[in-house]
Amino acid sequence: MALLETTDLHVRFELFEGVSHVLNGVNLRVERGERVAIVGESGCGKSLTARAVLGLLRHTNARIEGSVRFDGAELLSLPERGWRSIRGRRIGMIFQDPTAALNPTFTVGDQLIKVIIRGGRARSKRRAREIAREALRHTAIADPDRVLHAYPFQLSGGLAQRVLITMALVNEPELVLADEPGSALDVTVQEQTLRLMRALGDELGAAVLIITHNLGVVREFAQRVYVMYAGSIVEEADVDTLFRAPRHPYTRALLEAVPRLTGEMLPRPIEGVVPDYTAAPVGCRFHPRCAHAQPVCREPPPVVELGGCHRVACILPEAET
Amino acid sequence: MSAAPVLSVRGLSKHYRVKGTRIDALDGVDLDVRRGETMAIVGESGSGKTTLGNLILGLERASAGQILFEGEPLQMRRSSALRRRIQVVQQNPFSTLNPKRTVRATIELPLRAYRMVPRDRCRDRVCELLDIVGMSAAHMNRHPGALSGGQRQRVALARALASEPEIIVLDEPTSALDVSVQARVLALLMELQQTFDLTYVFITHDLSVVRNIARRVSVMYRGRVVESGPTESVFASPRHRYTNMLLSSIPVVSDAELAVKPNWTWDPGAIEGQGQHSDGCPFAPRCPHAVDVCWSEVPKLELSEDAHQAACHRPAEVAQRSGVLESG
Repeated sequence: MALLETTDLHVRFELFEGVSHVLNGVNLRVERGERVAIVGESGCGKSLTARAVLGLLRHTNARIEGSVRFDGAELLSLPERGWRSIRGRRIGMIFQDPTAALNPTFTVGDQLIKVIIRGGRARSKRRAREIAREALRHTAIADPDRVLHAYPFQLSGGLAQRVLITMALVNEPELVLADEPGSALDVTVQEQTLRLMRALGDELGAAVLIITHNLGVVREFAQRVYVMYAGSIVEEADVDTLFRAPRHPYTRALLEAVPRLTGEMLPRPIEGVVPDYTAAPVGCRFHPRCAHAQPVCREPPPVVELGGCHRVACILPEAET
Repeated sequence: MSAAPVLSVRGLSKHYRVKGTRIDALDGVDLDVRRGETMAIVGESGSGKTTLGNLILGLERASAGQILFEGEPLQMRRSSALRRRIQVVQQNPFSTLNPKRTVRATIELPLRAYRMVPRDRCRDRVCELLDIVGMSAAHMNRHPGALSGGQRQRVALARALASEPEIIVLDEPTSALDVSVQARVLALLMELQQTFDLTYVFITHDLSVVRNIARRVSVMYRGRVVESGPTESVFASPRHRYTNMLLSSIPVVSDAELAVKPNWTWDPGAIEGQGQHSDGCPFAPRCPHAVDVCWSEVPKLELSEDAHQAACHRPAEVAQRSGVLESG
């Protein structure tokens, strides 16, 4: 049984302009201890998927259909009380901008202690503080006491990011959801963030679902990857296969748009823009931007199995080269 | 390449006072930019690259040193005729366009301010400029709110081009954009450079972008240029430990890139530099090769034509051990 599994997940918002059908049948699976990535341009529904999984769309006007199962239990019908034993305990979260994700009015120590007590790892504040200190030291923070007494604004971006990682992992969750971790920071700090997440995740046996727009981050961090376009998963593969033999035209276009460190070819742009969700293209949502589009692309694309976990939602998956 | 640089920066410094402590945002920067080339300035946040751009644009006053434009010193207060010739495109297209102005009004402003065309020709000129950046006249009466990030950046570019400048300071022009859109804006920038013989000072933190569009690159760290030279040479054999570290941190998408990327095992402590202060090389607290002289004496960067140089006391050690390195 997968640790996390979404089946035919749809999210719609009713807007003045009409119904915005943002997630269009997302099937996603994360096994225990696995590092999985969701990659795509902004506005493709990556973060929304994460928010749906975390039950953060419950009090919005979103209409959600389908299923999200965590360790076998359905999350979509879970009452708010049930969420308390999951969010921050069995599922940890790391957000993009580390300084915005911390509460500016409390010290790091206060916030960490609260997380630890809520997670049930300690009853007393004193015990929680000990756990917090140990956990900070574990994320390569040289002087945990200074950090515990600091307010978020007193920390550098890299330090704040490590505090957030500590916070996400301190209750030893089974799954960590990381939305663009470190992408607001410098490359050297981002690299360090990813290494730390990987090492600590491995140590705890926690699965990590990382959301990113950066294909380089996917390649260096994940084992398996979902490529998302306009609210649908268009390709799924293990990282090696995806970068060696991408089959969906969108995946290929995305790869060709990345500037290369070798500089041997200029990055090639993708024409057009991500569609408006109130009037999304029928059939394959990528077809208006696709160089290989044919009339048949106006039908919903079939999911073609290519062996292993490699699947592609395209009627004409491009041949391997 | 013509010999005389169009823009020269000599010993440029900028200090700020924050609660009584002096912050050296820029410390003795030397730089030459030749006509028609792209000079990339790379570094992490806080390295002083934007301050350098602001000084070139005359948005701030230098504490010491000077900027020469065609051999003449540039002051902070400058004539309209001078300002016209150096323009800027900034990072965030969501905050650098006035949301209340239409695209037409935005582009007309420099046309009028610098009296580029007669008043009755303004509208036509706006159309031409939009066409140059790949937008249609239909966008003319839109507000920025109705445009995508890529389109806004094109408008910002059209606005910069309106005054027919010779130099454009591009401050992270594609950082806020998706890769698919970034590729399009980069292609446009290259095309415009060819057409109008533009000189770019390209400020960015993204080394992959630099590799693709700049002929020469200067790497900045804590207000100083630590390495500079032709892009190919700097990427192929970085001579400063910091450049090495930057290059090795970039997440890449292909095996070919992995092969050219320096490789070293990570020492997390080296990232923050443990807050130590160095009177000498600013990188000393993070550098595994640092010896006494690095802490006490500032390494100099000799400026010379097209050469690849690094401000380092121990270049031999860095070159020798640019491969795998143990921590501590």
